[in-house]
Formats: sequence, structure tokens, C-alpha cells
Amino acid sequence: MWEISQSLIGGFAAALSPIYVLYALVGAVLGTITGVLPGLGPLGAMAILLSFTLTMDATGAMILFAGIYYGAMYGGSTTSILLNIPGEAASVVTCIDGYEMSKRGRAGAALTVSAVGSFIAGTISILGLMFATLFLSDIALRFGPAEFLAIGVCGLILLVRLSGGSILQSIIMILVGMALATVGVDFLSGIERFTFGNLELSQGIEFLPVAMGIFGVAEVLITAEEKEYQQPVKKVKMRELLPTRREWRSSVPAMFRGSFLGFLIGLIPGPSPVIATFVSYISEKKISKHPEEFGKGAIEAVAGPESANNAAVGGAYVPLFALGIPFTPAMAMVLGALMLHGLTPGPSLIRERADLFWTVIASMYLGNFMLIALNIPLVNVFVNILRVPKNILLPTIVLICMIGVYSVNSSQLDLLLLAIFGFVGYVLRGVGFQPAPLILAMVIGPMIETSLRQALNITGGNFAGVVFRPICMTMYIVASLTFIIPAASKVIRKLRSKSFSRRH
Amino acid sequence: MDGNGRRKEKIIAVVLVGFSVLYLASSFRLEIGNPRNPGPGFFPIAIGGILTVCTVIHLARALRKGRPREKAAPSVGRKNYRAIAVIVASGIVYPLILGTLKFLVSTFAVTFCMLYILKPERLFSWIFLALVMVIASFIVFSRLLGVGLPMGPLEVFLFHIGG
Repeated sequence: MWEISQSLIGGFAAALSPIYVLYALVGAVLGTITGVLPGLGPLGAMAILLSFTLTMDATGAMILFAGIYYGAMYGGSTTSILLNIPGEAASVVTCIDGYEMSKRGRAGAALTVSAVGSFIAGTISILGLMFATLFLSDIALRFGPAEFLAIGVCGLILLVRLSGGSILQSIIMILVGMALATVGVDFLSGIERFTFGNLELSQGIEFLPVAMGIFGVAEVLITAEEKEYQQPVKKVKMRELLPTRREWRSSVPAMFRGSFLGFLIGLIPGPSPVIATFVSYISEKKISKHPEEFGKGAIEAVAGPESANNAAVGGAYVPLFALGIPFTPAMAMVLGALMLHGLTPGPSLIRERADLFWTVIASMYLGNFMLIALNIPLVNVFVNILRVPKNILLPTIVLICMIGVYSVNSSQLDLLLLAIFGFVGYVLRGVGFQPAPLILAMVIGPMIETSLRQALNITGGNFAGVVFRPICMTMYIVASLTFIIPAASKVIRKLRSKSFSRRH
Repeated sequence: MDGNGRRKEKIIAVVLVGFSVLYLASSFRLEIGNPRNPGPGFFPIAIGGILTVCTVIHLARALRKGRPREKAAPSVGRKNYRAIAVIVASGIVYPLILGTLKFLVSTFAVTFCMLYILKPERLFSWIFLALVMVIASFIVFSRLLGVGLPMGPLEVFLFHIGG
């Protein structure tokens, strides 16, 4: 404990240096702006800024990305409450009761509760992240290739189950992502794969143009598809921002419940902030003494989900820092930024680069303070961002994406890949494919391949030796249960309804 | 999903099958190795095989859906497909002209095209705005952030303005 507090104090000392404070502030502001703008979520912002993190050190890049991720969660609620437009997916649930409160003239109270809830959740999840990462990374040091293979495979299985939409489509996206990751020189044998004699392709398909294309450019194309429509922007008066005593009493317990729930859900693969908001909303409604108020402007329905989505952000960092495996697309971006700086996250990173870990943790606390200080008084400024015409905003985003991709390798192939994957992302999303599994598989795929080949090598080609190990088996069983339980309950429901109809 | 959407779904399903078959066929050219010592083709063949099966099932499902029974409701506004085409074309053309025309001219061309296609009414405003955006981005990225952008005489001149 003494060691942890000492490391944290060291982290704060570094995080309070002017340059890191500036990165945290820039991240928080950019995150809030991307959260406010419908369409451009934290993923798009991270993808666009990924290449520019090269101009800063790894710690600065992590601080910037953490600020963006948290800021987007704060900003997303603003448009949900004021305009009934979710700035990003994790704020959809807030629209239900947040907008109802806004219609009743309680928009200010909803915004304050959402900001305070986000702050509490952010703080709780950072504490959880700190302890869970240290605990898990200690265990992970004893893992071999078979265990890392099991984590990768189970992570993808859970992702298929939880990412929503068609299971088959998610599996296809994962396999396409893995296939793309095999392009280039195989680093175990040194043989070129799928390069078709192209020298640039022998380096492999870079993660950056694919991510920026699928999330950044595709988002631009989807927004460009629709004709412009501007919603009138509402103003919130400062004196309306204070919730009543009754509103505080109802919302504070919901904030804590949402925080713990969100952190736990953040640990599992998939779009955890989105899932966390739905689970929090449902559980708040179930335990409420007035469930009939839900959907009509219940403040717990804003406080719980808004806290849950912020807490899930902290939870999502745990598998990345402890195991080196990103379970959400946003964490894949964070991993991409670390890899651009030549760092591979995982159990050894916390020991080798303890300064980075603790500075990032400390800067998350600072970022949370900045966000609450920025978001409540400047709510009207952020909402005005919606007034920027899309015909200026969209070309600017594409321009930044193009320069960003080019700046990393000065490669024209990367620029071409950016355009191609932008179009691919746009088309696939048009027919219901989720691009997130593709991106995650592109990152996890090489780890799965390396672990599988190493594990087979160690066990002398014995597949049973790779699978039937205590930790691996537990993980495979848990992952399988996520498919077996819903299928079994479906069969039981069908049988019950059949026997019921036979009796009547 | 309306008739147009179904058609799109089928086309994408066919493209995915084509991609997976091509990937699987290319994987067989690589050395598979053996379970004790898997070669570079081991993993791609496994991935390609499963991907082919999945995409064929997906295609079969897409074909089985057939035509929609009811006529779809008309969409609220016409979609701006011209804008999509121009933005994608700009992205493809940009790397092809960047080497020859260098940063300022090529970036100006694609930025202007995108601005113009999204709101064609204000031609001269967009020329001016594209010029401002390109010069501003050059100064920010090349001078302030030190990004290595393709330089011609124009860029060298701009780079040295102000010392």
C-alpha cells in the first residue's frame, strides 16, 4: 500500500508538469467536442489524432487519449439532454429521461447530475483500474503462450456475443481483421505473405490507415450522405444548473451503483460503455420505488447510466495495461499509440515503465477535475459547436486524416488504404456490419497466431496440451457459456410454451 | 431493409465470398508446416477456411431473404451519393497526385472538390476557404509539428516565409 501511494505521488508530480497538464486539457476539450458532435465519437477523434501522438512522448499520448475518452463521455450527455441527439452511442440511454427533464425545464439539473456522476464514476473507476491492474498483471506474469491464446480467443468470442447485431456478421468481421493482420513478413519464419511482390506491403497493412478509414473517413461519409439539418440550439441559464435536494437524494445512490456496475462491465470485451448504460438503466428501474417515472424524466435514469459509461472507461483500461490486450476498439487505438512509440503494453510494462503507468493514472484524476470544471460552466459554449456547418467540418476532418496518415510513414499506399477502408467501412455499416470487431481482430490477431504457434511448438504439436490447461479451460468454458446459456434458455422457453399450448 | 438495401447486402455478400476464396487460395501457396512446427501458411489457411464457410453461409442467407413483401416507405430526404463519390474519389486521387503536384496544389484540389460538392452554391467562397485551409494546415503540420510533407518550390517558399 505504501509503495502504491509513493508511486501515485510520483505520478502526480509528473502529471502536474505544464506539458502534461496541457495534454490533459487538450484531450478533455477535444473529447468533449467529439462527444457533443453527433457522428464523431471518441474513436473517430482518437483515430484522427493517432498519428499526431508521434510528436509527443508515450506518456503524453496516453494522457491525451484518456482525456479524449473521458471527455467524450461527458460531452455525449450534453446533446442527449438538451437536444435529444446522442453525441455518441453511450449517451443513447440518457436521451430517454434527460430530454424529458429538459422539456420540463430541468435540463440544468440533469446536466449537473450527469457531470457530477461522471466525476464520481471516473474517480471510482481510476481507483479500480489502479488496484485491478496491479493484481492482474502479477498473475499475468505467470502466463505462457497457451494462456495468452485463450485470453485472445475468449476475448473475441465474448466480443461476438456482446457487440450486438448479427453473430455471423461479427464473426466474418473478426476473420477479415485477422486475415488483414497476416499480410506482410511473417516474423517467425521471415517469409512474405500476401504481399504480391509489393515492397510497401511487406511491412504489413498498418493499423492506422485502417482505423482512421473505418472510423474517421467512414463517419464523414455517413454524415455527408444526409442533407444538412440544423437543430435549434438551446441555452441553459446558470441558476438552472443546481439540482433540488430531492433530486440529489435520488441521484447520488444511483451514481455509486452506476459507477461500480460500469467498472465491472468495462472489464469485459465489447462496447462496454454502451452496455453499461443499458444495464444501469434497467437495474435502476428495477430497484426504483417509482418505476413509472422512468421515461418521463427520472433523475436516477440520468445519474446511473452517465456514471456507468464513465466508469466503464476505467474498466476498459485494465485488460490493456495488465494483459496487453485491448477489449474495446478505443483501447485498440490506445494500444496503437503505444506501439507507435515502440511500447508493448502488458504485465511487464507496468514494471519497466512504472513512470508511464502512474503518470497516466494521476493525469486521469486531473482530467476528471478539468472535465467537471469545464463542462458545467461552459455547457453553452460546447453546445454551440453544433452550429459549425457540416460542409466545412467534414472536409476538415478528411484533410486532417489524410495529413495524419501520411505523416507517419510518408507512404502513398497508406493514403490509398485510408480511402479504401473509409469506403469499405461506410458500405459495411450500411448493411449492418459492425466494424469494431475487425479493428480489434487486427490488433489481437497477430498475438493469437504467435501464441498458437509458440504453444504448439512447446507442446510438440499436442492441441490437447494447448487447450486442456486449468486457466485456459476455465476461460474457454466461461466463453462458451455466453453462447450456451442464451441458446438453452431459448429452447426451454419454446418447450414451455409448447407444453402450455398443449394443456390449453 | 428495402429492396435497394437487400441488393446491396447481396453484392457485399458476394464480394466477401470472393475475398475469402482469394485469401484461402493464396494461403495454400504458403508452407503449412506441421502441428509440431506450424509454418507461415498454417494460421492463414485456418482463418481462410473458416472465413470461406462463414461468408458462404452469409451469402446463402442473403439470397434466401429475397424481395421485400411490402413496398418500403420513401426515405425522408434524398441521399447525397454524389458527395460520397467525390470524397472517396478525392481520397483515391490524392495519393496519386501528391508526388507530382506536391502538397499545396494537390491538397488544395481535393479540399476544394469536397467543399464544393457538399455545398455547390458558393464557388468563390470555397476557393478562398480551401486556400486558407491548405496554407493553415501546411504551416501547422509542416512548420509547427515538423511533419515531412512533399515539398516543391511553392512549399519551400512558404516554409521560409517568416524565417
